[in-house]
This record gives sequence, C-alpha cells and structure tokens, in this order.
Amino acid sequence: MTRIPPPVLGEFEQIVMLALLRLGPDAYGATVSAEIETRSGRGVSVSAVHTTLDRLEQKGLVKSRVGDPTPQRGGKRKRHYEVAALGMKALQASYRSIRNMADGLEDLLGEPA
Amino acid sequence: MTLLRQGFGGQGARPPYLASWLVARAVADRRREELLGDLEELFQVQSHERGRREARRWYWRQAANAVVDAIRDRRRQPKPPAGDSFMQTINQDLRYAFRSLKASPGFATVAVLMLALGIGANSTIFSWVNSVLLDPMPGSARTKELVQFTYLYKGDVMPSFSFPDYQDISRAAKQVTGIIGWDDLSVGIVVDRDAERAWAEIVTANFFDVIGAPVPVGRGFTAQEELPGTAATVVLSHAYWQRRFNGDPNVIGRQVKINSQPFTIVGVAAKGFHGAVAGLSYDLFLPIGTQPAVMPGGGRLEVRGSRWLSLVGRLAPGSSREQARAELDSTIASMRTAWASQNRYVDFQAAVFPLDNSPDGGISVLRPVLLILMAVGGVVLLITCANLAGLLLARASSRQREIAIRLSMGAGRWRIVQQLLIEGMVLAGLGSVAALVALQWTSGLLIGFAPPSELPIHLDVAVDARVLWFTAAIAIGTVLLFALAPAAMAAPADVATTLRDVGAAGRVFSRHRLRRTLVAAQVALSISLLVGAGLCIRSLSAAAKMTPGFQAEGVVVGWLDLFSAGYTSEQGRDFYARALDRVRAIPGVESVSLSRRIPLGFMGGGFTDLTVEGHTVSDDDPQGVALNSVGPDYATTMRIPVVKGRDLSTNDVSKQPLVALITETMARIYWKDRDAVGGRFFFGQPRPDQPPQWITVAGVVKDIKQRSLNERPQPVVMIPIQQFYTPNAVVHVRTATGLDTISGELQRAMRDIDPRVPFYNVSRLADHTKAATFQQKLAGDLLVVFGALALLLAGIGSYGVLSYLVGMRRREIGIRLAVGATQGDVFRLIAGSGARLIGAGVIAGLLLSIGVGIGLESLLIGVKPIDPPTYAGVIGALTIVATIACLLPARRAASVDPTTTLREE
Repeated sequence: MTRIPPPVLGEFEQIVMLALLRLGPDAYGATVSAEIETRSGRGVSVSAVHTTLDRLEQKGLVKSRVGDPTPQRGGKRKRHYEVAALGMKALQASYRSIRNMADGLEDLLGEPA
Repeated sequence: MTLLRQGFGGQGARPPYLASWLVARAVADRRREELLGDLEELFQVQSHERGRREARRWYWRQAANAVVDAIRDRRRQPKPPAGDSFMQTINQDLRYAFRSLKASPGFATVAVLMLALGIGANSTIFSWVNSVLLDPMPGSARTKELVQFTYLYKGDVMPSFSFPDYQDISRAAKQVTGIIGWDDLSVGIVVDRDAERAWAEIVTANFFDVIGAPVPVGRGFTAQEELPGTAATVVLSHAYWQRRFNGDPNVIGRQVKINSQPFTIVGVAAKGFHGAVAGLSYDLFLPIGTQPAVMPGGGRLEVRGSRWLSLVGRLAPGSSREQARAELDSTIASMRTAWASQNRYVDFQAAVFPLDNSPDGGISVLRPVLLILMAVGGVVLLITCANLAGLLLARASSRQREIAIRLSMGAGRWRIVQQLLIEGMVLAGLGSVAALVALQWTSGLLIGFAPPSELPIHLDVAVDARVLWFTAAIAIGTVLLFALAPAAMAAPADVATTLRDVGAAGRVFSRHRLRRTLVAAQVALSISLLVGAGLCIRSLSAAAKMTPGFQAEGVVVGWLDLFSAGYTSEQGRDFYARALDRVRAIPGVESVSLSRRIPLGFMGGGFTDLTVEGHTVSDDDPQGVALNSVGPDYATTMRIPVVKGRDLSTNDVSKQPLVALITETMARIYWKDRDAVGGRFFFGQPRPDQPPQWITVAGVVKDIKQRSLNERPQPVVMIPIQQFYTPNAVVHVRTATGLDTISGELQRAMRDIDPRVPFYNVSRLADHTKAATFQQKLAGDLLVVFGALALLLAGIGSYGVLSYLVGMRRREIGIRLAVGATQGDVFRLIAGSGARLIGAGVIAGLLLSIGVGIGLESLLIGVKPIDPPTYAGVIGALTIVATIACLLPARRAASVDPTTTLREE
C-alpha cells in the first residue's frame, strides 16, 4: 500500500494554519487576520484569509463550525476554524522541509532570538 | 488584539455603507455573512485604535480586495454566477436574440413577415368580429341582454309582428324589463327648404330606455307619442346632428318637414348610437304614433294583420332566453285562442334569438362569413407556425454545436430553452408590431366588402383594447406553437456525442421526423383551405349560371319617392304614366317599367294572404304569397318569360278591371291542373260585410327568385301599380346605353316632369342583385387569397425539408453512387421520399376538407360539399407545386459527385 503524501502548502497557507494553531478555539476570520498582522507586521487582506481558509477546508486540511453572532459584528455569525489531522501532517511536512533546507544557513538567515 | 479576545464591548461606528454593499453584491452567498462580520469586527478595532478616518480607509481597501478576489473567483467557476436574477438572464437573452437575428437577416425577415401575415390576418378578422358580433349594437348598454322576438311558421323564421301583436306581447311579458318595436324607412326631410333623403327608424316610445342608449340633448319619446295623430316629434342621431346641423345645441324645438309633414326636433341621441340594427346607421328616430303620417299605405297601428314591426326585448335579471321563449309561446297560444274565429296565429311557434345571432339584418349576412374567416385565420396561423417551426428546426440543427458548447460550459437546459423561446418572442413581437401597424389599414377593409345596397350601411371597425389583447394573446400562443418544440429538441440529451459528430446523417432522426410531420401538416391544411376556396368559386360560377328567372344585365334602375313630395294617389298615377312615356321616348331605351322593389336586393318583399276562387283551403297552403306592384311591360323589361296569357300593359289602369301576373309556382299551388289565366282571387279573408275585390289573372310567368338564389320557387303575385298605387317605386329601364349617359337622361326626364320629386340611386340592377351572392363572393375571394398563400408556404416548406434531407444524406448518396447506384436510383430515392411526405399530407388534407365542405354547406349554391371537380383541381394544383418542390432537391442529389463527397469528411 502506497502512502499518499500530504499536499504541499503554499506560503500564505502555512501562515494561516500557524495562526490557527496559535489561536486555538478562538480562531476565526477576524482573529486570524489580526494575529497575522501583529505577528508578521504586514497588512493582511481579510478576503484573502477567507479565500485561503475556504480552500484549505475544501482540501480537508482544516475543519470549521459556525459560531455565535456578536453585536460588534453587526449581528453576523462567525465561523471558527481548527487544523485537521491531514492539515497537521501537511504543516509538519512543510516545516520539516523548510528547517532541513535552512539547516546550516542560520548565520545568513538570522536565527530568531 | 486583547480587545478582540475580551470581546470589544458595545457597538461603535458603522463601516462605510457603500463599501459593505459592494462586498455583499460581489461575494458568493456561502461566504458573505462571515466575511462581512469579520470586516465589521476588525473595523471596530481599527476605529478604536487608529481613529475613524483611518478605519474607513482600511475598510475600503479591504472591500476592494474582497471584490477583486470575488471577480477572480467567479472567472475560475465554470457555472453561471448564482447571483443572476431572472430579469438579468432575460436581458442577456434579449440582447443575444437580437444579435443572432441580425446575424441572419434573411431568416429574420422571412420569419417576421410570415408572422406579421399570420398574426395580422387574425387581428384583422378579430377586429371585424369584435365590432360586428361582439358589439352588435354600439352605443347601447349591456347588449348581451338584448334578444330578438320572432316566430317560426312552418320552419321559416318570421321576424315581423303587428302593432296590436306588440301590445299584447309587451303586456304579457314578465321575463323582460321591456320590449321595443321598430321598423325602418327612407324619408325625405326638408330643413330650411333644403330637401334630402334620410334613413329613419320608427320606434315605440320606450325605445331609448330599453336599448339603454340615453338621449343626452333634449328628450326621448313619451307614451303619449305612441298614439296616432299626436304631435309629430323627431330625435336626431348624433352623427346626423353633427352633419346636418353642425352640432348646434339650439336645434331642440326646431321645425323640419319629414315626408311633407311638419315635425319638431325634441332630442339628439347619444354619440356612437346608430339605431337598433348592427351595421346600419339611421339618421332619425320617429315615434310610432307618426306612422300613418310618414308611411305610405295608411295607418297600420290598429291593423292586426299588418305585420311590420321587429321586436327586441331586454331580458330581466335572472331570466334566460329559453324562459323568454316559453313566455312568448304561451302569449302566442292565448292570442291564438282569442282570435280563433279568424284563424289567426295558427302554426306559430315562438323563437327568441340573441341579437348577435338574429336571423334578420346585416349580422345574419356577415356572421357565417366572419365565422368562416375566423377559422381560415386560425388555419393560416397554424400553417405559419408549422412553417416557422420548420425553419427554426433547421436553424437549431445548424446551431447544435453552439448549443452543445453552451451546455458543456455549464448552461442549464432550461436556460437554452429559455434562450430559444425568447428568440421566438422577439420574432413574434416584431411580427405583431408589423401586424398592428397594418391593422390600422386592414381593419377598415371590411366596409369594402359591403354589398351595394340602398341601405345606410355603416361598418365602423374600431381597434380597441380587446383587439390589442387578442393580438398579444395570439402572438404568445404563436411563440408556444412554433418555438417550443424546436427549443425542446434543441437541447440534446447527450452533449458529448453531439459535439463529436454533428452533421453525420441519422443523428437527427427525431428532429427529422418532426420536420416531416410539420410539412405534411402544412400540406393538409393548405389543401383544406384550397378546397374551401374551390367550393366557393364553384358556387359563384354555379350561381352565375343559375337564372334568377330574370335578366339583370342591361337594366338600369332608379328610385322615385312621390310620397315625400306630398303626392296624392291621383297625382302619382299621372306622374308614373308621364314618366314612363318620357323614358320610353329616350333613344336607346328598349323598354321601361316600374316596380315597388327590386328582386334579390337586401330589402325583403311584402307578403299577403289571399283567397282563390275554386281553391279549397288546405294545410299545405303557404302562409302568404310574395306581393309586388309593377308597371306595364314588367315581364318584357326584366325578360321574364311569359308562359301563358299576357304581360301587363299601359291599359291596366285604375278604371279597368283589376288584373295580375302570377308565377308558375303560384298557379300550380292554387289552380293545380286548371287554367290559371282568367282565374280570380282577392286579397285577405272573405268578409261578410263587404263584397270581395276580385282580381283576374292576366298572365303566368316563369318563377323568379325573390330573396336568394338558394330559395325554393315562391308563389308571387304582381299587380299593376296604376291599379294598386304605391308612392314609392323603382324605375326599371332596359337599354344598351351606358350607365352615365342614361343616368343623365333619366334625371333630366324626371326633373322636367316635376323637380320636387326625389329621383336617386341610379345604378345597374346587376350590381344590386350581386348582393344575393355576396357571401359566396366574400368568402371565395378571401379563401382564394389565403389558400394560395398556404399553398405557397407548403411548397416552400416541402422544398426546405427535402433540400435539408439531401444535404444530410450527401455522404450516404455518395456511397450509394460509389457502390454502383445509378443517378436514376438516387433521383427516385429522393423524389420518392418527397412523394411519401406530400402524399401523407394530401390524404390528411382530403379528410380535413370533407369537414371544411360541411362547414361551408350553408353558403354553397348548386354545389355539394364533396365536389369532385373541386377536389381534382386542388389536388392538381398541389401536384404541380409538390413536383417542383421535389424535383429540384432530387436533381441536386442525383448530381452528387461521389469522389468529392466521400473526401469531404
């Protein structure tokens, strides 16, 4: 039996999934966008986050459930996301490959503190 | 960030409305709510941390991103955007339809023209039906409630009652809110010394109330005015008031002279009301009490035997026509009991007709023709639809690839059908517009069909809302008929196969069968129309050969009215004698005579009962005999053969013994095998109080037709006008001189004797007797036009299908030729399939034609509904067209070059 390799993730997909892991149960469109913005210091298109989450869900890498509406959302519902098992594997694979590729280049790339 | 985690309390600023609206429009439903919620939530954070301005700017940026993403997303999707509304797709389809029609202007023009013709024919005919049958008495209220009272005598409808009859019936009637009695007459009217002719209706006092036509200026009639000898009053029709008095409101109270009697104008009828007869327009309304003053022949109001009034009643709420008939029947029964001693009302049976289907008046002439035309219009429309459906099918076949591509790109099947239907609607819409433009002109054509007549014919066809609705309904129905089947067939079940091998023969078999059926249907329908046309033409030629008993050709007639000139009978007799002498002296005049009325005109004749010496009264006797007053040399002038005895002469004057001419049928009924010449009779029943006025039969002439060419030979009595004076007569002149010349001569002759006597309507007798074949002529003319059109359409249809078939089978034909079939074989193959196609249509058409013949039967004169020469002629005409339609494609098929064809694919 051949093992099906997990799908390869794009850069923004990795960032979004990492944000999901960081936020845990509180992860939904707005918090994910805000988390990426504060962590990466770059402006994020909320629409792009949504599109990405949608695509990841279609690939089976994340799972979602509908959450409650709150007043500051203008009474609109939210959708909570969490990383699925397949997504975890894909993320691990991505991280492994980037770490392997970066091995020995720490001086050049600058090691995080 | 903490704000978010803790739940940023309360609701602050609202995000820019326009931006969020744009996002909501752009983004798919599935993600809209979450995205908008997230944006709004972050907007609150932004406005808290960086101020309102920055937050709004941020929101706009986000919105722009979302819209761009959505558009990109949509492009990636193969399906049509889910947000499309019905109206949007209709809009797209409309634009697409116009584009694709513009791309094939030939097809579009032919289709629109055919539709304009089909729809136009129907709206035109409907506009006639609308104004003649659906609105039989314009200007009156609730016409549906109006019924005509008549009675049947031995199966014949008798429309006239006497005034005492009217009074009895009116008193007994409970099923109606009122009954009116009326008759019409031509009068001379003098306004300020200007004399002219006018048509008047003499009516009972309740006329305007029962008809429901108000008298807005002045008043109507009072019950007082029904009594003979009361003040003479007159109500003008609105049209006459406008024409003669320029609508002067001070006309009330003015004095005019009608038939030399002083009358006072008391009212003007409502605009658009022309009187109690559909299709005729009266100028004046006179109360019935003035009858003795304006009608020749003395007072009739108290004479029970003088039947001259038509009766129209308005059904009471909740009453039916059948109840009114039963009531009239019982009234007649009680009248029969009351007058049993005089043998009156024996064998009378009540009959009540709706006004739009009364056996009397213009409607009875037009109704059958209009109903036939409705059917013809429907058939023409069906043929048009069949033809268009064929065209659209051909188009659908050539567009199959386009449709398959659209389907594979994710278009819904319904979407394709909708698209094709909308194309159909565009065609039908353009066709209807053309039809409505033409309608302005064609609706007026009806008056052109009106027969020549001395009656005031008025056929005002109005294009009203009902006609427009009808046209719209026809257009929609047409689209469903011609576009639905091709549309349904155009959406192929198996897209992949269609894409792969469009054009291979046999793939489109079912569509093929539909087209063949459509062509066969066209052939069948056009055959039935042509048979109808053929039967009418044959009737006309049969009628032309059918002698009415007299020769109308070469006779010029002109009307004299001594009554309105105020002549006494003494003066009148003198005038007639001098007029005949004067005319006889005009060079080129062969002979001249007078007659109370012309035969076969629309004006019916009078009837009378009589007692014949030596004849035992039996139940087989006719109710009465037709009566006419005629001048000397009448039989000679009319070229009616005298069988026995002599023609009337200038010696048959008032001081001489009373004589009469009778017809053969009359002689046979009353004298049987005795010699009628020298026999005696008198008018009316024997009366003990006065001796009978015996009339001796001077001559027996061949039978002449009185009302229609179809009638059975009638008993007719002709009495000398000098002995039985009547102040209205028609001068009959037999001459070879042209109408214009003789007309001037006649006018001068009459003026020389007395310029006050109206002498009018000088015309050819033959033009008037044509009225007798008016229905056949009208139906025949229109059927020929429509039939020829149908034949042409069917020919084009067959040609189209066969050429198409040849195109489809080029490859097969190439192979056949390659493996040894001769050109003759191929020719026979194609011509044979054409012949089968048309043969099926012919058989169906012949079956259909039998129905058509039976439908037309009432109009046919001297021709049976199943008339072999007609059928032979139609099949002959069709064969010629069909042969051409088959031969051209068959020859093309035979000339196919196998090498080229086989290499083509």
